[in-house]
Parts: sequence; structure tokens; C-alpha cells
Amino acid sequence: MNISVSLYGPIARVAGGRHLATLNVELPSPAHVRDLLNQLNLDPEEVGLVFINAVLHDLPGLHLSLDEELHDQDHIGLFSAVHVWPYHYRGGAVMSPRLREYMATHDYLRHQPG
Amino acid sequence: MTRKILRINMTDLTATYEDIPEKWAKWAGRGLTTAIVYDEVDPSVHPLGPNNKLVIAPGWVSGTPAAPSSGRTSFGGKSPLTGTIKESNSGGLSSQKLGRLGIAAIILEGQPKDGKWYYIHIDKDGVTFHDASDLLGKGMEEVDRIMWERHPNEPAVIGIGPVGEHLSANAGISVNDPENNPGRYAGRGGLGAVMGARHVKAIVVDDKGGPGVEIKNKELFTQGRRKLTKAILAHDITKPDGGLNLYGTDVLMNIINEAGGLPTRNFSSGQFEGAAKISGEMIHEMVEKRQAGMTGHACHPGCVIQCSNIYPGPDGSIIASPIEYETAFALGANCGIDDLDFVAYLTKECNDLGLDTIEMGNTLAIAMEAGLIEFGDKVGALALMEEIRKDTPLGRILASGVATTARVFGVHRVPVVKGQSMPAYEPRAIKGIGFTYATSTMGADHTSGYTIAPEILGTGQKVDPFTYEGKAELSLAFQATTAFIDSTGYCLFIAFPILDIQEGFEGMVESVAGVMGWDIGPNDVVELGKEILKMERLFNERAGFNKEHDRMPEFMRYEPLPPHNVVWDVPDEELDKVYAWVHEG
Repeated sequence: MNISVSLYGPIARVAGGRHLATLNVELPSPAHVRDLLNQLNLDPEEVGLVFINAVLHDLPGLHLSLDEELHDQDHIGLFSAVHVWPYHYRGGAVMSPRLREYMATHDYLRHQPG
Repeated sequence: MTRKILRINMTDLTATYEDIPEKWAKWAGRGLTTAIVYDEVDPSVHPLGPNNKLVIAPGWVSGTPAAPSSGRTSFGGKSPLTGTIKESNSGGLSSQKLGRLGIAAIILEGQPKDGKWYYIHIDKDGVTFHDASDLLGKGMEEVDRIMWERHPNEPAVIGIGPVGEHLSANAGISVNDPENNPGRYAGRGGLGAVMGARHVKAIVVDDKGGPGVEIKNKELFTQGRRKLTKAILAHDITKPDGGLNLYGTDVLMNIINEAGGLPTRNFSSGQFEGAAKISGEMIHEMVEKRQAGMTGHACHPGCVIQCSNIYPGPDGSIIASPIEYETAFALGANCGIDDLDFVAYLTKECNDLGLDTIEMGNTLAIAMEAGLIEFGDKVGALALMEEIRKDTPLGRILASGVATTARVFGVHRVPVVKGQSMPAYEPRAIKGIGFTYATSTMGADHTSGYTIAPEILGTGQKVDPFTYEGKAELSLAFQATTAFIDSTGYCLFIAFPILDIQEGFEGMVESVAGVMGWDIGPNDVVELGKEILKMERLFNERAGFNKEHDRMPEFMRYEPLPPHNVVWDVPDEELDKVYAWVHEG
């Protein structure tokens, strides 16, 4: 399958960028976010926000997206850990069921620093 | 020294220092500008007439030693853009200098009988009025430079560009930064026209030898500022090399775009294919590549966040400072323009002519929707800015903002609430911010409702982010807390660390309590903020606004926004809960 990937911040280095990079990645099917990070040589600790097709799948430090399955022609946006989306802008944003469930059960309203 | 009110009457060219009346004694910043406008401006006056006033106030902690990121100046009056009360605030040099001169607020009132224009110089020895006829028609870059040539000690320059002289509804008020660039703006709501209606081109503030800010409880103040500074330096958003410091506020461009909430081509899509090219990451790359300009720029002395930037052109010369997220959204994505250099050229024009970049970018988008030029036509956009500079009738229309321009050209997709156009978060995709856009006393305004987590505010509510339940209360808590922060003199971006770090929130409150000699704690913040909101809301009611004005534009209710294809579906009665308390109890 072919995945379109955008990398934002310092992690862009794995695709030859300084702060920005876009690339297409071929992955054997089935593939998950974890496989993509492996192929890109990206440590999950370096990745914060994750969007798949405009749906928020992960927040810094949670690593809830690693087992998310990817599909052909998906677009995935990976942000460095330095990018934080303040809580109030997240309010009402479209999220994955897994992230919703986590936030509902963990009262995860705030960014947890450190 | 006890703080004083400086009343400047332009009708008879007098300046008097007055004791602060008891009813205003506790306020500073937005609380004080709102209280003075509420008491002294009849809500029925015409914003450009002789009876409106411009009130300028530093915050509680502005000018104190080592209070972090505390250089915000609050400007208040009745808005020619919205017809509501308006508070707009700015960074730059003015807040700390006013604070150190012992000035709680400047009340600028009246109009010169001779019709002449003046600029005003304020220092420790008093106020002088100067003929400004040679400054008329000049942009803020030149005005700032001339003021520093004429007056010593690198003073603050609060000024209006040609658009403010023309009393246009999108005229902002510029404050110079430490490099004497005019990029810091109390932009929203047309307060530059309120200043222009007083025939004041600039106010120059020199604090050398000033008495400084009286701090009633130094120990508490020091404890508070240390706790706040620690929180700012620890938080991922605000710490050195954190998101804001590295990439500026435009760090949000790619995030909001990936989320599908970036208003694009006059709010017709939530994603812009050129977003990365106008993002904070790209600003950083250009500064590195061109080896000129800078990121991590401080808009006022003592800022520890340093989210501003100075953007260089292809030849390494400086084009504009700063390129912010709101600027890049409005002049970029919302116009379909993906060229950062042109976003910078357009920003430079706004900063020099004296225009709010959000309203101006959104107005260019309306012109594009109307077919004057195509979306993405960056050269055409600059040509429209030239119409404003040449002061043509078309330029006058464009300088009047989104609502006026849309009416003139017959556009029905008009992203405004109470006459003010929306900032860079699409409320159909990110509904939380929509509550604030709809109900704010200021019109559509992202800075009215910066959030605070409910547990920090002690309201004890657990809020489900996915229902409307509790959202009204939460929006009110946000708006009230923001009104408090806008009164401190601290930059609103301290909201990021203090909403996540309890100690930082305590520190903010303790630093204010230390200056004022108060015994208040974190639980008092919302109540004090609500006092400010109540004055603003009552002013607006008396100016003819009611709950029917707390509504989203109609097109957002029936036009699905790609990529999520969502409409604004929050019931009106949920919105009406936000301010229901004003007339209860």
C-alpha cells in the first residue's frame, strides 16, 4: 500500500528535511502506524500528535496510535513532540474512537507536561 | 507612587492627573478600560463622534521588575467595527513604560476645535501636545522612526497609520517593539479609528526617571512571579526551544490544517493544500536558509516565551515582523495564497497602513469570493492593498472590513459575529471555540476564551469534550479567566502553562495580589473576570445587542465544511446559557 506522510518539526530529518518533509511510503499490507515508524527509523517517543486523514489519533506521550491500521492512500501527519495542541483547540475536534475512549476514561483534559 | 488616571482632553488640549476613584481602584488593564468605558461612554454614542473615548491601560503587574512576559497594553472604547464595547490589547513597549510612570490609565477624549492633528508626548515631567501635520499620511514605519529621531530614550510609540486617520472601521493601533518596528497591534475592532477621531496620530511614552510601580507586598509578588516563570519555562509550549519559541504562533498552521479546521478560501474548506508553505516550520527554514531575520524574538523586554519573529526576504533584507498564525491564516490560507514572502509583503502593508491583519486577510478573501481577483492571486492581493494606500473609494471599502465589503459586493458567505470576522479556527470543525466566537462581548474573537482547565478553576466539573453539556459553563469560565489575564498585563500565552500547571496559576494570582496588597487566591479569578464581563455585556445590551446577536453566520449552519463535512449544529439555547447569569441574582 502507498501512504502519504507529512513530517513536522525536527523529525523531518528522517526524510531529509530540516523542519518539514513530505513523502510517499510503500508498506506491505497489512500495516500499522508502528510499522510506518519502524520503516522511517522514528522512535515513537519523538512523535507527538498523529493525524490520519484529518482525524486526531494521538497526543504527546500517549502512544495510542501505534496499533492503528493503515490503508492504501491514507494521509498521515506526524508531529514532533515539541508540537502541542492546547486543550481548548482540541475541543470538538474529530478523534479516533481509541483516543476518545481514553480521554473519556482518564479525564485527559490537560496536556501533561514532562 | 499611587497610580493616577491621566485624562487628556483634545477639545481644550489639557492633560490632568486625577486620583483613581474608588469604583475603579481595583482594576487595571482590560478591567480598567472596560470600567471606564462602561462609566463614561454612553452606549448609544457614535464610535467616531465627539463623545466616544479611547482608554489605554497597562496591567496590574506591567512595569514591575522581572514579572515574566508582562508587556500587554489594553485599549478600550466603543468599536466602529462591531458597535459593541471593545477591548483590544497589544505587546510592544508601551505597557511597562506607562506602568513605570505611575499611570493606571489614559483617557483620551474630545476633539480639537481647530481640526488640527496632534501627537502627544508623555514623560515624568508631564504631557506636551505637538503639531502632527507633517506626520499625516505617513505609515507607521516612518512615524516610529521619526518619533525616535525627535525624542530621546527609545520611547514607546502608540500610533495610527493612514487608515486610522481616515477613520476606517478596520484601523488598528500600533505599538512599536524593541527594534522600533510597528508590528505589535491592538488590531481588532477599529480602535485606531477611535484614536483618529480624537485627531491624535501618536502617543509617545518615555518612562526615564519615572517613579516605578508600587508593590504593596513584595514578598508575595516575588513568590508569585517566580512560580509563574518556572511554569512558563517548564511547559512544552512555552519553554525555551518549545513549540512557540521555535516556530512562533504559526506552529499551529500544520496542526489545525491536519485536523481539518483551518479556514481556507473564505471559510469554504477546513484544509489548505499549501499550509506547510506558510507554516511556522517554513518561517524557521527561511530564517536559516537566508541567514537573516530571526525566530525566538521578544516583542517586549522581559518576555521569556519569545514567540515573535523577524521575517527576511530573498535578499536577506527584513520584510515584516511578526508573521503570526493568525496573519498567515488570514493573508495566506484564507486567500488561497501559499507564498510566505507574499504573506510577509501583505503583513508589512497592514503594519504600515495601520490595519488588523485578521480582518484585512478575511476582507481580501471576500474580494476574491466576489470575483474582484481570483483566490490565490498574490499579486492582485498586493494591488488591492495599494488601493488602500492610494486612498481610492475601493480602498476605503476594503479598509472597512469583512461585513462592509461583503455587503458592497453582494457576498453571502460572511464569517462574522457582531460585525467582526473570525480568526483561524473553523468553528464547524472545532466546535469548542465556536461557543466563544458566538457569545463573546467582542464579536468573533479567539482571544476572548482561551481555556483554563475546570479543575484548576475549582469548579469541579468533569466535562465531556464530545457533548454540549457543560460547554456553556466552560466557555464562561474561559471568558472570565481571560478577562482577568487581560487585566494583569501578562501575555495571554501564559494561559498555556498555567492551565496545565497549578503552581503557575497560583503564581499569576499571587503576583497580582502582591502588587495590589490583596488577599485573593485562584478561586477568585473567575468571579473577578465575571465582573468585567458583566460590565461589557450590559454595555452591549444598552447599545442594542441581545442574545440573537450571539449567533453563527447562517451559511455555517447549512454548508458542510470539508474534509469532515460538518455544519454548525449547536442549538441556540446552549449558546444562550453562557450569559444567562448576567440577569440572575
